[in-house]
Amino acid sequence: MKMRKTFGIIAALFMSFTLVIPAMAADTEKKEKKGQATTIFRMEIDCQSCVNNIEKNIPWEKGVTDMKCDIKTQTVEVTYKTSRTNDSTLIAAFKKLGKDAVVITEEQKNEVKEHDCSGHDHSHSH
Amino acid sequence: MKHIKLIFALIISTLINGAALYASSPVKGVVKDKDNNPVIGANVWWLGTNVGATTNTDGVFEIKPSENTEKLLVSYIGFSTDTILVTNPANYLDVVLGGEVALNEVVVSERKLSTLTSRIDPLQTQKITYDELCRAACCNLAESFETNPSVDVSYSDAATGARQIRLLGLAGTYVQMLTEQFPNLQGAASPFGLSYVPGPWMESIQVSKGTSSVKNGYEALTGQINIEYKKPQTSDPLSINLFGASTGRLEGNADANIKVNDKLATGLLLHYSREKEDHDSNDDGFLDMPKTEQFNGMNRWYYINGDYIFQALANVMHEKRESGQFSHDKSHPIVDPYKIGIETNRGFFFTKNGYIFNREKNTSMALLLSGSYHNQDSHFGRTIYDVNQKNIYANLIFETEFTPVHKISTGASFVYDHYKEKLGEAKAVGIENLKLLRNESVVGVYGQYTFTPSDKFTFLAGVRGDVHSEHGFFVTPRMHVKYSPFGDYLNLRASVGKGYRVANILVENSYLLASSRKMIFEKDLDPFESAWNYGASAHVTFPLFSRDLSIMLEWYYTDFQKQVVADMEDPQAVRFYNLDGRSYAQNAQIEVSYPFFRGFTLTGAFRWTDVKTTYDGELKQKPLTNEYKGLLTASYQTKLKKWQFDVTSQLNGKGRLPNPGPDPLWEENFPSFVTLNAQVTKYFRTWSIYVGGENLTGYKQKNTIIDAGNPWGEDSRFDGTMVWGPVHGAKFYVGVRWSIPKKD
Repeated sequence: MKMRKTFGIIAALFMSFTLVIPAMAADTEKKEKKGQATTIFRMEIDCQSCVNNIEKNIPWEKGVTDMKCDIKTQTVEVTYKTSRTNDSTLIAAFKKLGKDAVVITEEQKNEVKEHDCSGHDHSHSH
Repeated sequence: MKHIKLIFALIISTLINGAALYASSPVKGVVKDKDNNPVIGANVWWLGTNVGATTNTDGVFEIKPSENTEKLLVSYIGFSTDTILVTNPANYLDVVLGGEVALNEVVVSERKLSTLTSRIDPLQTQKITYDELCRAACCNLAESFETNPSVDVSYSDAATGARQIRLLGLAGTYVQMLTEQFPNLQGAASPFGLSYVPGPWMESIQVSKGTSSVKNGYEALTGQINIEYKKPQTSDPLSINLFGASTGRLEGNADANIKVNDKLATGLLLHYSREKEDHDSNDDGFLDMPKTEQFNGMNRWYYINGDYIFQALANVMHEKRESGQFSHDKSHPIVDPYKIGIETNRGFFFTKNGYIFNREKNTSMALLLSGSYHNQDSHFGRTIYDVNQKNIYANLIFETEFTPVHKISTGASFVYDHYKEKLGEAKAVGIENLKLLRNESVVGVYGQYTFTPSDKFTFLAGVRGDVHSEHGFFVTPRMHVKYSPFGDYLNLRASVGKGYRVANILVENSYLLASSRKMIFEKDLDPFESAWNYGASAHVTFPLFSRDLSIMLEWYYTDFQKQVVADMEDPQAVRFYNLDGRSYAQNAQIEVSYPFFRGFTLTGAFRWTDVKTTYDGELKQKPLTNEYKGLLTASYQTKLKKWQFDVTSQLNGKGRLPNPGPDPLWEENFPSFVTLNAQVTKYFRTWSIYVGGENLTGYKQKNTIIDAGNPWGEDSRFDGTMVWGPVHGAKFYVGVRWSIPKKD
């Protein structure tokens, strides 16, 4: 019986974890912080190993605060501090990984998304 | 394909040379798939620009010509991106997207799930990826299932550190172990085999529940576990892992991978580990964990030339285990201590030759050859047990697709085993009923047919016939059905199949030598086992608040016709006899997984297990088997994947212990208990550091070794095999991973 209790406590901890952190995460995600910009880059992303390579390197570029790499739309969304870096520095960083990155708009990205009904991430704003 | 298209486009452009670029008229074309269906919503854009277009419902697109480039990119989910050279914008482009990307793995911007359940495979298969393995210490294969609800790993005795895997409530010997699709870690290697595969060497593990494909043989009564090692053609050039734990375990792993040229690649994998400290936290005079030392090395080669692929792998391993009684006070050594020593040398190699005759029809032929040498010298107190096994395995496989609807696989196999065993001291009664020196060979043929009339339905049926030198001819039929009425939202699977196995009674039960129990082997003991396995599962995936909720329901039933029963109901003996009556294992499991928010996934699972065997005419619950198991595992990775947090808790259900007899030294049942593991990983660009703890609730089984003070003597009830819970308390560890990243 004692064990059930222990497991119950642990389960409760897990649940509170899942309730508290999303609130925090949602908070930070919504507010686009001052002095930060988000750019969508389009490039050829053929496979998961390309994704891994981007995910291993771009977060370590100066000023980068968020990144979403999407193989479906062939895009990488990077949020960065404008005081520390800019689009051309990031394009150079992609170039180092052998990627020719192009800046595109949200609409251009969504053109593909609208036809995609696999039900994955739809975090973009309409 | 890409190159052919490029060349083709180039030729066309030279032919109609002179056609000028008309900036005003748009470039038009159509995008189709292999089957000539229009691809709707494909993305078309000029390389290096943000000028793009999307195909309409007829697959047709229009795009303004570009002044800067002639390279037009066409991409669509599920296909690899194609580059078209447009030299004459006036031409109508006909683009056929080929190179389908296998979509059975979830590839999204968000964190990928590290345990993937294939939605395509008709067999219920879970893949544990490298990412999943990194969520826990995973020093070796035995520790790789901490976060997996389906596989249990327990110590089979408190003295030798032998670890047993349990799938669907049955011992690991009923699970076929494969490394890169080759049967391995079986026979003489089965007691300690799980420790022979270092964690950092593994790329992934596939766990297939229920009856499996007939391709790999007649074994796998309850399932199959396949390990893929790191591959030289895809792995980082150099990786190093160092690990240390509070129990005194130190470990070093390194692997180097060299691409000699476009065709040839080779990899070298090394491992060294030692755990040499004396730990006796329960003060019973016995070491809690054996002192171990292991050297392990592997070299592998990969060669590809057009349609021919060759692979070779060689692995050598030396391991030493020491355990037993020791003196806390060095100045007062124990007179005549009970010692256990196990020394193993093992070698394994394989070669794979594959040739693709026709890429469109996937017609291929492969020859798989492997061999192993295994030598174990051991002593349990005064009982000497030595085993030597040599194995040769050959499998020739031919596969082809007549049409995408009909696929066939057929082949022939040959297995040779040589066993030489020695059991000292007159502890065994009826040892003459076992063949201690034996040579066995099995010749078999198989055929497997896959029928896929639509995306929604797959039917797979296989049959094989084998002739065993000792056990004659037998037939193995197996069948799988998969039905997905609503695409990926619902996958229903069912399977039925037969499996056989020749029990290696002494090796598999050698851990029982760490007790004063007499081993009694019945007359005419037949080591041949057979069972039917039935399974059904439903996997539901549906979007909930724009994220996928995954629910998996499973049911499996294994029904034995022939079995070697190890009966421990007499507290002073273990009797081996053939099953007379019913014996079955039944499991039901529910697993729910949901990514609550970006980077965070919570998985909860619960399983009921009902395993019963007829012992002396009475159907009883199998001892030392948990009646249920619960698992909660949470994983969180920060936005830029610089930090990762993992917590896993397991509820291990209660169960029965073997009959303690009239003068009991242990309880009749064991209680349920909870364990908690946690790990934090900090990633840097080329390296990462991880710190973790295992069994953080500190739960410990008391009295792991029965009558520990009296291992010798006539009246001794000494028994190190009554183990159902953690032997030692909380354990902490720290590790570092460093690698030179691979350049594409």
